[in-house]
Amino acid sequence: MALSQELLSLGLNNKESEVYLAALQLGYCSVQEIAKKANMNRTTVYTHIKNLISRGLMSAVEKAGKVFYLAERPEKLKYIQEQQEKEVARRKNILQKIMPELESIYNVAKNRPSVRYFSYENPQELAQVRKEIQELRADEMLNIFNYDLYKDYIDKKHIEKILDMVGEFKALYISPGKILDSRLHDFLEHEKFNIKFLSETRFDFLNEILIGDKQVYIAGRGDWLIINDRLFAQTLSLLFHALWGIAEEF
Amino acid sequence: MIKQLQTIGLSKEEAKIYLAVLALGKCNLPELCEQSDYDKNVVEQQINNLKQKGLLKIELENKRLMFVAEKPNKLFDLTELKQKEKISVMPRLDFITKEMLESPNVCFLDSDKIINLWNKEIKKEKTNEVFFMGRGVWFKKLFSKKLEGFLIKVNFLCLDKQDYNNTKVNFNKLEKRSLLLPGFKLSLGFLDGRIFCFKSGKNERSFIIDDRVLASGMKAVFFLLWEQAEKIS
Repeated sequence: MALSQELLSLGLNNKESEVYLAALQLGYCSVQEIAKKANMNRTTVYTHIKNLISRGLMSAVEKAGKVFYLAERPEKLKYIQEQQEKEVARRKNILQKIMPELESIYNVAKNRPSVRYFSYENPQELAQVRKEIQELRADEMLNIFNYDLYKDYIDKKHIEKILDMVGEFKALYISPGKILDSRLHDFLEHEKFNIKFLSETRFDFLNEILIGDKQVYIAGRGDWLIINDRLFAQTLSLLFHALWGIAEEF
Repeated sequence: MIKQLQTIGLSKEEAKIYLAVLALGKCNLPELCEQSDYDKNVVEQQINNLKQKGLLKIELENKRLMFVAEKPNKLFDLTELKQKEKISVMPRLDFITKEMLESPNVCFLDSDKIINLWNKEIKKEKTNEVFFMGRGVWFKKLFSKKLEGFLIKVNFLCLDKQDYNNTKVNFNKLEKRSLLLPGFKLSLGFLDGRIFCFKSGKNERSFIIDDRVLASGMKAVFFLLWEQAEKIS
């Protein structure tokens, strides 16, 4: 390996290499001589010399009140490299010991509940979330929605696809008056489709929530917040059924 | 573990943040601040460092930055003493975090941390009225005598008959009602635009949903059930 490459492999930058090589050629020399040889200014050379001394590649000697520098013999590079390899081996050894514990933390985290965010004002993201909902295949899918806020998002095809895949679909329809949107009339006869009414004056709920399996989809202010957590989904499902008992039939 | 990570070249702060991200899986900035006990500025700086070291990834999800730890065996790369190109993520991070303040957020926490945060929030905000539904076990943990001075009223909807005895706590400003919902395992507390979701099981992580609209909606659920519930002394 060329000396300059070897120096770079030890972590030296180009300028440090140049300073070291200049000092090596000059032998016992002053900082001005190194600066001239390396074609750098004196302040820069000082900084690099300091680094090279800390790496054991140069040494400083004071003589008659003046400081002179000497590059260490190139063989010393081999020793430094060996030291670095030992340090790498020591670090690897430490890592090998703690790796099982780190892996176990990592694996627990992989299985933890997760949260995702989408925008339902972005047509592509809305389509992506709807596709995911249609493919949930949940035994029961529960939906709470504020009609005035979400009426623009009623999509008959989307509901049909959900009904194809789920065991049962229940919706709590929150609106000021007990008037069902005409687009939903066709579904009233569907055996899997159930809908009940809650008055907005009694129940001021401004989100749309959809619960299926262990997923909870929460829409509000342009965003979908999707929480994947079995216990949270189960909790909301119990609350939904408590509200279902209070809600009125259409 | 932190000391061992320091010996392979991580700073103390980097090691703590790295372990926090590793434990949380995919997480956001507030979650990481809570888990690591560092403030936002420190966490941002360390995220930057860890990214440069190739130990975590930053993903953008609907204008939110999410942080994911790389597999632990990536740490072996650090031992090779490679010079890494410095890539700054800070300007983008600053821009996004401003938007995050306005958007819903979910923060997963250990039980101890969520209890601390609950107490801190009540003391900080001097919340007038608190709404809590679920398990008596959690009620007992969350409403210590020390909080009495900070609250005007606590409304507790007990949903589990099995741990009803835990609700018999000496707390002055308390109104209790009971509505049995068998199988209700989570406990929910509502505080100023935040929903605290408390889990009891081992290895279960509690969480906070930071969303004013949803918190208001869930309070509406609470009120509706409160009307149906039976008053208990």
